[in-house]
Amino acid sequence: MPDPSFISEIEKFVDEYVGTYPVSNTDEAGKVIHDAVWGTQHLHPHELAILDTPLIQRLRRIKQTAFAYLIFPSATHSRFEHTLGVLFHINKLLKALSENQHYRKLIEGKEDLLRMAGLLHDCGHGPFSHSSEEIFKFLPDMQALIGPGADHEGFNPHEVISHYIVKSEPFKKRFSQVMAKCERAINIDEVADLILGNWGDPSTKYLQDVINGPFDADKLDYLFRDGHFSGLPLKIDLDRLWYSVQILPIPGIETKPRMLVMSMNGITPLEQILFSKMVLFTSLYQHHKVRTCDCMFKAIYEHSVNNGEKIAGRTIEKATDFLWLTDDKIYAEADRRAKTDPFHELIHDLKFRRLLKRALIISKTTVEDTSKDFFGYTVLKRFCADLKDKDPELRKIAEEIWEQAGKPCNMSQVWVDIPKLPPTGAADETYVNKGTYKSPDFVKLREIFRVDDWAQDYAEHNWRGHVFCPDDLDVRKKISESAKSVLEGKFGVKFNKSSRALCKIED
Amino acid sequence: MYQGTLPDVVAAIFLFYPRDDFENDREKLHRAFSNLREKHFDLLRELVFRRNLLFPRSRILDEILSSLQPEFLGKINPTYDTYTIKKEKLRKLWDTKLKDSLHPMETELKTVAEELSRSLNA
Repeated sequence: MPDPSFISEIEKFVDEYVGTYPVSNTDEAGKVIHDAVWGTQHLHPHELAILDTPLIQRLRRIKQTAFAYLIFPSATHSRFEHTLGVLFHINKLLKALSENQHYRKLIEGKEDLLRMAGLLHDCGHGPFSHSSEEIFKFLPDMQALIGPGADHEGFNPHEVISHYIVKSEPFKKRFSQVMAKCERAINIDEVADLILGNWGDPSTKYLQDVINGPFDADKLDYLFRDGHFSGLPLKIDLDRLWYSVQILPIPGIETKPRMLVMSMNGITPLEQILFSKMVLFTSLYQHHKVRTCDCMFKAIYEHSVNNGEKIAGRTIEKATDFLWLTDDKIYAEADRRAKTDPFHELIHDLKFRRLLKRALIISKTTVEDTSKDFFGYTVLKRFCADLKDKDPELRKIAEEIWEQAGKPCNMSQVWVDIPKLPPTGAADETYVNKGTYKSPDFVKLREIFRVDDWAQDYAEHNWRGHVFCPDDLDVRKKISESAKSVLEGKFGVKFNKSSRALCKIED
Repeated sequence: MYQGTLPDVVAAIFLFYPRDDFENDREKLHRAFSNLREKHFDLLRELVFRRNLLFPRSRILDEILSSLQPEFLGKINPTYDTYTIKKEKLRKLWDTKLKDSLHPMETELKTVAEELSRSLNA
């Protein structure tokens, strides 16, 4: 169970964002909503009543792909649009399943539950989506929930927060008012468990898979939406995918969970999903300028903590404090301050795209060949694997680089960035039915499609870590030299000329 | 020098692993490491697992296995179904980079390696 103070902080937030607002007038017919990606869909009155709460409306002001819009100008889509897209996919999947006599009964009466989980699944996001999550996951109140040995060890922070928002007393109170007014009955605890991915009953694991599975509605929307709005459109044969889904128990697993599985007909769209993820990972999510922006956002947070600066009138010290912020509130903080205020400058540098630049590239091609140093990149890879989830350690290394360079800029402008590899776990949890409905024959998707070997190739040839610093060439040269020396000393490797030349720093 | 990290611990476990190869079965591997962590929590504390999936899964373990390839863990062609442990290279890594920091844990690392082998070959 979470610490009572965490629950209390969640309740304060939810009380403010749903507690005092009247339930909106609910038109019996519901409403249609248009979306640039999926077209028109219909929402029921009880869904609109929840959609209209400030809790969900705040998602309009949180960009889905954070700072990607500074690199891909049209990637300005929000968590709110994504939330509606998730409802679209839930509907399509349920419709396809309901056309099959074997599955119709299994999903009967579950539409409201699943759609409500889709509507609420991202309500725990902070400003700039995963960019703030990368900060608040290290804060003590979140580590107490997801850190080693904790109740929700290994979970994504925003899922945990969304779960506890939905389970909070103020939300339940509001929810029961809405349900009563709209004459609906949805078990809100089941909604909360779907958001977190908990599946107590193996016979209904397939419901979980719709919200939180290898080809869930969330993934289908974000892959398309992120690709579409970044200008990197992706192709997935969705109709084939929806109509190839089956609901079957998996005999090889101890509890024999009844899951969403894919018939052989759906292999191609599954491959397309995995391929799309990889493309977006390399081209969008891990674009070095996108990573730069994330570091600059961390600098804003770091400055606020180190100097006791409030953002939107709040001291930001707990994971739950981020719930009170949206993208616009971060940018607005600059306008409350004088132009000479360093905090104003940090925020405006990001807002007006005065981005940090690369001072050193860490990759297989930028480290001396292993024939010269026996371990070379291998050693570096091991350290990187360790440092990927250790921002505080990386800050210490950045500080050492900054000090050794003679402090040529502000410490808030020097960052060491070690991105993670693309996750490949889904391929081990997706079952493909090579047989028929009556005589199924299951294999894991990974046995058909070696996604972990793909990820390995990515790790070897495409993965890049960076040291970032201000654009000024003189500063970059100093930071670059220092970074090279510090990282070589720390890791026992030798960087080659490319490590700096690729950053456009001439020797 | 930066030493004694979780990837070093996992590399050492594979050095002391009593066989020269193991099956590339992610579920078996993650389950085995998850069980080992419960028994040797202090040693493997940072190996965080998510436990509400079909099997306990650690993204950090995937990162580490990736980082050990291809130099210390190879996959036999053409099926990629088996990892070969490159013991000579791991021994050199141990002697030159790991021994100083991990020597006090050598006995426990050998025990963990034995337990891992039993688990993967059960």
